[in-house]
Amino acid sequence: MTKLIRADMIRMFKARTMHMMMLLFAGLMLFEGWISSGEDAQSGSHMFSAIIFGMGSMLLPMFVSIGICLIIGSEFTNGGIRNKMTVGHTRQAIYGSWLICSFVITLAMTAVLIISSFAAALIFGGNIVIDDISVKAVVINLLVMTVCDLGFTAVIVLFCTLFTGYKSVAVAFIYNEVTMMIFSILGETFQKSSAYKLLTRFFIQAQMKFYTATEVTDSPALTALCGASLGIVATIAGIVSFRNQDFK
Amino acid sequence: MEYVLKTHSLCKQYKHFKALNGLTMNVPKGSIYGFVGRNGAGKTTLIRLICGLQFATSGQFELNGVKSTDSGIEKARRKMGAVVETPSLFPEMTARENLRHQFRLLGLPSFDDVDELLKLVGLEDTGKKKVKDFSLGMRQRLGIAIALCGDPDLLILDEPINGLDPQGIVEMRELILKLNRERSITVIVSSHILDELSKLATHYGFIDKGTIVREMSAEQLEDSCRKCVRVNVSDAKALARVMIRLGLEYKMISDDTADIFAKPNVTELVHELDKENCTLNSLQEHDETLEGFFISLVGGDSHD
Repeated sequence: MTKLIRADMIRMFKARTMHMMMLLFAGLMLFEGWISSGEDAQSGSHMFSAIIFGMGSMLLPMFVSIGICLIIGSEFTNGGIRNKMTVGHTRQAIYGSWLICSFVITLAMTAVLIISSFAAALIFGGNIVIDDISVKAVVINLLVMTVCDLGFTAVIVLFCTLFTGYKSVAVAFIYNEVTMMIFSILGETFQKSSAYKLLTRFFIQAQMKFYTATEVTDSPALTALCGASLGIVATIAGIVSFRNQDFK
Repeated sequence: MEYVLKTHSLCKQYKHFKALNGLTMNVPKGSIYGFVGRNGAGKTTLIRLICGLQFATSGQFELNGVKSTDSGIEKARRKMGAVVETPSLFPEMTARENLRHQFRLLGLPSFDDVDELLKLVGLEDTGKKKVKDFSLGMRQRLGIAIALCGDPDLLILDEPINGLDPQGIVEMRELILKLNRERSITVIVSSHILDELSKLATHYGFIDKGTIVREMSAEQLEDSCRKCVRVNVSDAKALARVMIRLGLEYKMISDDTADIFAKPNVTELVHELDKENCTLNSLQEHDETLEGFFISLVGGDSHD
């Protein structure tokens, strides 16, 4: 499996798609910084918080899903998966390699988010005053958000194998938007319901208001556990379906 | 005879369509096995099963002695290369990058053989040209180069000459022959272009409606399709004596019919038969093409 991971990793990070997605994502974060600097005078710390936990956390899953779907989808459209199976790689290994590489993409995009948010705050918001934010809150919230993003990533890999080719890009986009929409509608009515609150812990799209740079989100361990469990369920379902699938 | 691939009653059922219906075939080691059948006969389905892309509904196959149901089948596939339908290539990469990717997939320790493979398929001068800008022939050859990574014993090519221009077809034929003769690679070539296949294959498997209707060697096929004069006489034994006397190669087809594999002098033949009190009822030139033979095997009805 290490051969597969190595080959996939090199291909993914050499792909122009990945470079474009990362550049576009970083550019959008900087653009967001520029826009918000014109609205009212924000300190760098506030801008950092607004970008990383606002626009950034909302756009990250979308960029991650498009990037992953394009990369894995190309294996189906160009026949890369045939080459892997023909030379004797097991389906579990192929799936596992895609999952690990997708996790790395998510982590790389998170790094881009952190760096670009920081850069935007420095360029357009001036100095970041450490007293304005809680480093502990930033670190814990980022960790919880990343775990939930990884859970979401596993769902996207599942989509890539269920909807082969570039169909998965559309499916992932719809999933993202619909989930966000459903939770925003449900939130208006059931905001105080404990069941709704528990449900939001599974889906990164429902956690827009969870994170700030000043306060640690409530029950961070539970949220991380819920996000991770979604990923585990998606991975088990993905491997079971992938093992029995016929490919052309 | 040693076989690289043996299939036993392979069946593949899609929802409402049986693509393979108890297919049994044997591919001898070192052969170029022409897998002949019309579109939709089940050629590509069989190749997909062998490559592990799909699963058989029932039946099994053996690849280098390893059964498809054994856990070692994935390992056995490492000594196999295949181009299924279209070559599996990444269009944004160059030929060299595609090969290096395949080397990494195989876990090969160095890229030293990349240049040799590119030279073998005649793509050594493609430089930084991306695969998306390659011609169909170049893509086919690169597909074969990728299939050859890791020195396979068995190469499976699904319709490799489809869409190629005449020059491309000649190059592909020469490449396949070279691989078989110089590297002792067993090649399975599926095709419905029979004339081209007849220039390559040492063995044939004719498939129709998911079943192998006949397997034969090139010699056997040549015998069946050999140009001859078919004669019908009143006395077969007399004909045999005349053939020996005239020194003509012949083969009895039935009690009163024989194929003469030469152009006999008709007057002399009639005269000699007359001496034996044998009547020549009919005489006609018989020249069955590979296409004719194939149609006689599978029937000339239209595609389902």
